[in-house]
Amino acid sequence: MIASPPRYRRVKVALCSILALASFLTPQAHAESEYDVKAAYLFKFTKFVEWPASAFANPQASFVIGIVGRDPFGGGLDRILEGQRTGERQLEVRYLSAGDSAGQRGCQMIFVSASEERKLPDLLSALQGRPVLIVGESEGFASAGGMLGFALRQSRLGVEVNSGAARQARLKISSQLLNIANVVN
Amino acid sequence: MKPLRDRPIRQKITFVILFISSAALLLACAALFAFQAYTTKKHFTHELAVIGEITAHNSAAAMMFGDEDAASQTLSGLKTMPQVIGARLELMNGQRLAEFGPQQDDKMATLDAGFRVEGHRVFLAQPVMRDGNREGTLSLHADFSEMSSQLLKLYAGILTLVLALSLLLAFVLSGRFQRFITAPILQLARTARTIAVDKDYAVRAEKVCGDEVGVLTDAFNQMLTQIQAQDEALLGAQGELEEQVKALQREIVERKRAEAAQARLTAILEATPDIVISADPGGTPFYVNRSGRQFLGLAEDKDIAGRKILDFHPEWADEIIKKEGLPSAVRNGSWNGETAILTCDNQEIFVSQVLIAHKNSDGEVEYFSSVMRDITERRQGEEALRLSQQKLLETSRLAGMAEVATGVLHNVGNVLNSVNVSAGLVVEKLRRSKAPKLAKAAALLTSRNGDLADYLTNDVNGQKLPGYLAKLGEFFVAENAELLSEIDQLGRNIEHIKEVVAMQQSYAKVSGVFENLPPHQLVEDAIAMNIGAFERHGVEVERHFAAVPLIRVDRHKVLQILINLIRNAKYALDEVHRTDKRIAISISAANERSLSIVVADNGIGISPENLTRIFAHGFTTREDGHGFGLHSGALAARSMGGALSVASDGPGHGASFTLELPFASNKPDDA
Repeated sequence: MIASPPRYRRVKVALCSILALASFLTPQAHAESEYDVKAAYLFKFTKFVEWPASAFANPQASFVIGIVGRDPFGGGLDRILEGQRTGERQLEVRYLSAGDSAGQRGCQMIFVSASEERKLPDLLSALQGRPVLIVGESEGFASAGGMLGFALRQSRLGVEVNSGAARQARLKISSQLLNIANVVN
Repeated sequence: MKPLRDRPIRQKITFVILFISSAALLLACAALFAFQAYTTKKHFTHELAVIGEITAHNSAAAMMFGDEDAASQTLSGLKTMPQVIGARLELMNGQRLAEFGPQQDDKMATLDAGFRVEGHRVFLAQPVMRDGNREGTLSLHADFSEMSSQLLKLYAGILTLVLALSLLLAFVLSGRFQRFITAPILQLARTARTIAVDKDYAVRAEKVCGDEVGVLTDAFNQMLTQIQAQDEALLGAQGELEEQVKALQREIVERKRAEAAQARLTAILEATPDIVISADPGGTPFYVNRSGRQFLGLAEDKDIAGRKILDFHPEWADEIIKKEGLPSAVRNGSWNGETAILTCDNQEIFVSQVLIAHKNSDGEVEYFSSVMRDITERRQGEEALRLSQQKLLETSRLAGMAEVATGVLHNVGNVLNSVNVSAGLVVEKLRRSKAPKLAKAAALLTSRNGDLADYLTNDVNGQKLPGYLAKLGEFFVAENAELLSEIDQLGRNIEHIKEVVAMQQSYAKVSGVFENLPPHQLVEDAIAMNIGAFERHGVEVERHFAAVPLIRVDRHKVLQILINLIRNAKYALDEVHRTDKRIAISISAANERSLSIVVADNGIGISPENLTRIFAHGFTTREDGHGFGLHSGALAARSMGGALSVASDGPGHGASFTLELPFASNKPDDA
């Protein structure tokens, strides 16, 4: 390598320039915000949880994700879900208030932002027995009765699952998700 | 080590069975092994696919949530499988979430989904799907070489075991069951060997089965029948052939002998000074011997074709040959005459010619041969001879007279002996005659003339005188008779001498008178003519006379022969010094038509070489002999229709001469 012919040196220069360009273009992907990741997680959760047929009004009905409280994604969830489907269903985002029980019942998944987590017990009672996946973002949300909660693990975003709550809501959480999640009851 | 094809059929069958069994087993095992290897590989790849699918399925969440720990944990489950040597989970953006084992980046990278098999190595790219979306890729790197080698070892072991057991089984079973096939063949082979050794084609193979061997046995037996027949025919033919060969050999020997004889004859013909010419019936010569070529002036190698045999003779000789020679030769086989030939310089040479006609079995003349002898010298000599003959005539006449004289003297001499004896006897008798006594008696009577009666009656002497005279008379009568007999003998001898002389004068011509005579009379006469000699030499004469008929002979010839034989016998006895000198004369009938008179002596005998020439003219063993007696005797015997022969056991054993003479026939005497 010390006495590389000029020809190889030229190749090397070209290679280095490509790598430099790549490093210039990719930071946006890496520099995802926490909520971008969480938004992606919400979408991915739809793929590891099975809802009963009664959760939907009809077979063509959209899969509705309701966000209770202040939107932490800043409309980012809409962007992520745009054009995406889960199964055959289109995805739809609804922004709901904590007291909007009827609206909450029309959703298949509810994201409870950190600002509304103290209202969790009301939410739970309102959605008692309803096949709605309740996802929170604070630590201990799952232990507190929620079904899925984000948890930071070694600088990585992890997931906590309350499988008992999910079972009560007639939701089947994939064992695969359980494999990577921290299961609480 | 014998090659297989020379080994016994039993070993061949065993070998074939074992070979086929091994081949079939090996093929079956190979097929099984290949099938097993194929299915194992299939199974393995399928298993790998299933594992990949499960693992991919299980790792979907880990991939989607980027959980490296969970991904590593999922992959670690693969480590329990020995054939999986490497695995990794890669996100769609190329990020590797988890991995273990050696990474074959180049091979895994080129594979988007599915298998890639390289020898014992299998690469699997299994997409990780979730809800119809591909989340990443599970790459697996497996190596089943160890497994397949283990499998190979296992199968090789099983195969070896099965092969060994099968071969053992095949060997045992083939040994047991091949007898069904080999036993009839071996029996046939044994029969064939027996036949080959004993050369006995009467043996037949026993048919024990109905398969091809049975057919073969039948065919073999048929063939044997044929061979037997052919063998017998061959033996017969061989015998005939041997006979023919022998006959041929004999013929060859005969032919060689004939060729040698022909060569000898040719040599003789070539060497003879006579001219020999052979010609075909047309007169064209095809052979002229060397002497002939010299006479005719022909070179030895000159071709004689185109010449005619009559060209060789002068015209006058041709005439003789044509008119006399050829017809006579054709008629009688040969002709003998005097002709002449012409030499090359046209000179006539007188020849004595023998012309021979060679005829074939049909009696046709095939060719003529002519043998000619040059008689020029003879012809010249003949004239000289004629002159000398005239001169000799006188000489020969004188010589003839001498010969006659010899014969006469000989025979007369013989008879003269007898004459001499008879004359001596007569003289003796006359000398001792009692005639003087008669004269004395007569003188006595004359002196007593006048008283004769008184003297005769009273005188003592006178009384005896008449008786004396009577006795004297008787004596004279007897003496007279004796003298007459002797004179008669003398007369006969003289008559014989006359005859001898007359006979010799006519020179042995048959001139004598044939009479019917008693043979013993002739013999006695012959003995009587020699009796004095016998007495002088002390020879005893034995007579053995059988009663035989009369013989018809010339008395004097017979006497001459007998006297000769008796004198010869006496001479033969003179030569030996013995006391019992004996001549035995016997008369007997030789056969119905002739008589034999044998004069045998125990004298000196005759050596065998002399027996054959004893009758030749001039042969004698005595110093004073003429060699004429026996010769003329034999001639005389033959002239009377008889024969004279001799026998002797050799010197010192005596000799016997036999004179055979014909009996008189009943025809009237023609003398």
